[in-house]
Amino acid sequence: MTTENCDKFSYVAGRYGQLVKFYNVEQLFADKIEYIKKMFPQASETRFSIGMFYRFFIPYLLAADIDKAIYLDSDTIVNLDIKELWQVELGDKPLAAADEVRADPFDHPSNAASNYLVTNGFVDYNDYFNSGVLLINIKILRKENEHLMDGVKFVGEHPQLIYLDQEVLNYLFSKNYLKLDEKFNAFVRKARRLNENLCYRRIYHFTGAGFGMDMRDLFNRLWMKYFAQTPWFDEETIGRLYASVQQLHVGFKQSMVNLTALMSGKTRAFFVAPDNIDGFKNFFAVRADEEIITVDSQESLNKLLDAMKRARGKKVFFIMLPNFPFQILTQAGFTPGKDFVNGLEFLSEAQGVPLNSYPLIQAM
Amino acid sequence: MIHVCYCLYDKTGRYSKFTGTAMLSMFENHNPPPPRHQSRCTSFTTTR
Repeated sequence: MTTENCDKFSYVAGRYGQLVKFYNVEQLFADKIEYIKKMFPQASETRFSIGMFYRFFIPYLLAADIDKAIYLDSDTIVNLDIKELWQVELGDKPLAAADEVRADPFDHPSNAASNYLVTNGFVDYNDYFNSGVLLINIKILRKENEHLMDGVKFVGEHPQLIYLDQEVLNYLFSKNYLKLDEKFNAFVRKARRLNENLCYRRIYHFTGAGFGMDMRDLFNRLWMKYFAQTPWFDEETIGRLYASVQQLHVGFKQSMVNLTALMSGKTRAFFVAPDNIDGFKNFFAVRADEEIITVDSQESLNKLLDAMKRARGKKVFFIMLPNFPFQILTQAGFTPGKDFVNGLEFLSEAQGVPLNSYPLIQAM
Repeated sequence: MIHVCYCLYDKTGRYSKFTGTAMLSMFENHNPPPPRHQSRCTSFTTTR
């Protein structure tokens, strides 16, 4: 972490009469971090980083007279008094956390169905917890050093597990933890899916790239309300935002030019889902002589590949399906941007495809 | 005293703003009791 950022954290804490301390985990626990990096070489290649494992060392960092600590992910907004979480009684439980059955009822069923720990009986479906908000029993976990590394080893030996730190904690503690009230780890994506129109007194968890610039979204507004009060928001922020928008603008103009070159001497063809065909035809002003292949069976992909082989060099295929396995087309010898394009990239909010403005948030 | 920890690996320096925003939201909503015989403070810890 840069000195400038350390100063900003201290400034924020000071404004509220609070104290912040910094611990360099990679120096203090160099051997354990080295072991973790060896077990999870992919940690730096995904959206996660080695930083997700730092929470394991909290019990060993804090002073000996500290019995309890709260851990929070950086993509949370605390919209209640943190005292409420602090006052939860842990008893003899090693930690308290929110289970994902309640925190994430829309995605948990499919996540759990493919989670190795759940499908192989290590963790019960109803007990799998999210590691983004934790109340930690320091007294108990201080004695769990080797146990923790056993968990790291187990998860490291099972590459099918994705949320690495979370899987380690669930493997070790899912049968003996205290379940927190949902308000302490309220997933923003659940609140959005339920169309909640109020920000309640909760700890909101944005779970990854849940931030955006659309201020019609009250959770984006909630985050921006606090961000705008931090020392990270200044005139330089606006400059970086402008630079990002300018880059988008240049990219958009270039893609228009690329499209004219792509379509020169060719016609269009479309691979679409059967719902709302009329809306799609209207949007693209599809002509009667342009080929449309609808996805109506398992054979549809083969139909597409055959059509692309027959029309090579004469047609550009617009693929209009989300999560389409484009590698199948490239493996069959077709070139993106020449033989096919992702047709969804032409759609906007007006067609139900919202702008992903998280890159703008990142750029700020 | 309340102890809260955040963990941060920020090679580029661009991620700290998220932790800072999270931290500010927590401070903004925290109402410690008024001081009596001695001041009470809340300790917030980050690991890096």
